[in-house]
Amino acid sequence: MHSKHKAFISIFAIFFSAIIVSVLIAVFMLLIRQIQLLTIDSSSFQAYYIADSATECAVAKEKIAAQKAYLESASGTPTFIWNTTVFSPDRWMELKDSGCASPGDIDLSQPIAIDNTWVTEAKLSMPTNDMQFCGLIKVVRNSGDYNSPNYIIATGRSTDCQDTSNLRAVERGINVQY
Amino acid sequence: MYNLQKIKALTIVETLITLLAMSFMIAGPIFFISRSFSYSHYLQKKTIANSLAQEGLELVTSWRNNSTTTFSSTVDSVCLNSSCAVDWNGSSDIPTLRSCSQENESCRLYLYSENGIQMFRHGIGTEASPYLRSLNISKSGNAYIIESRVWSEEDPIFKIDVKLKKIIYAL
Repeated sequence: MHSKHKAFISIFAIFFSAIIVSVLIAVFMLLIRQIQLLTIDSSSFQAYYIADSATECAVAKEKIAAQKAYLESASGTPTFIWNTTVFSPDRWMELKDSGCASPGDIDLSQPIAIDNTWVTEAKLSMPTNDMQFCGLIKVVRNSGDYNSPNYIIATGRSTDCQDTSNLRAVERGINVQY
Repeated sequence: MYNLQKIKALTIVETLITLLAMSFMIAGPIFFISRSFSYSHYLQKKTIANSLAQEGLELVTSWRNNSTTTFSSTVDSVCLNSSCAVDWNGSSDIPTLRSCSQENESCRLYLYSENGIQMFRHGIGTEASPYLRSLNISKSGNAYIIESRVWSEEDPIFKIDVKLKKIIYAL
């Protein structure tokens, strides 16, 4: 009888200890997971700013093209923005040579002509101290029509441009229509 | 008269093992709880640091949007050769920019309260916050590469150092 009581108390002691320890471990794991989420959150901010930088770059190139077309037209040679834009099969090398912030920071191939538009896809690399980020830019520009809209689709990713296998990469995107 | 029973006492080894087991049972939860508090505090501080770094970039961008000429001339003269601090009073159209050094206290943010609203500001405020913020700006043609850094050295184990980078154009 006496020994039976002892065992009964031991089972309870083990049971309650297990509950307390498992709750504490669960809280601890939750905090570790929160830190991982916060790291993703930091990457998310930077990914957004890469997308924003890529958009700024495309918009700036278009502004320069518009200014150039305006000045040439003002000097007597009627010129349209699709004659001066770097997002065209004739002038894309200018974009490749100049880059966004410095020569060589943008990688692209010749724009493809699809249904009265030129589609340009480029990659903008931006290293930070902690990791490499990649900006993907797609510019769909009309090639001779005032009324059709143009699109800039920019995506920022928290990985190197060559790395497509990272499943934990964060992506943020911006779409601009002008 | 008395019915004395012979009950065996615990040996010293049993007592020691019991004490050891009990000390583990007490120390374990205390360690977990203190660690959890530290992580919670770290998460809170890092979230604030992220937002402050973001604010730095947004202030500079809004200034560029407001006036490209003023932005370019001020940044070129103040920030290209040294780190600088960007500050906004909450009501004016443009923020202010001054140089600051990452080596000393000139980049520190202070808690400033006005009409019940609290904000972090450089050099103005009653209470020094644990955060320091600096902007490192470099220029290439019309492009400005801006890095907003927020850091805190309050806790040597959980150091906070957040950096956000962005390219903007002054055209």
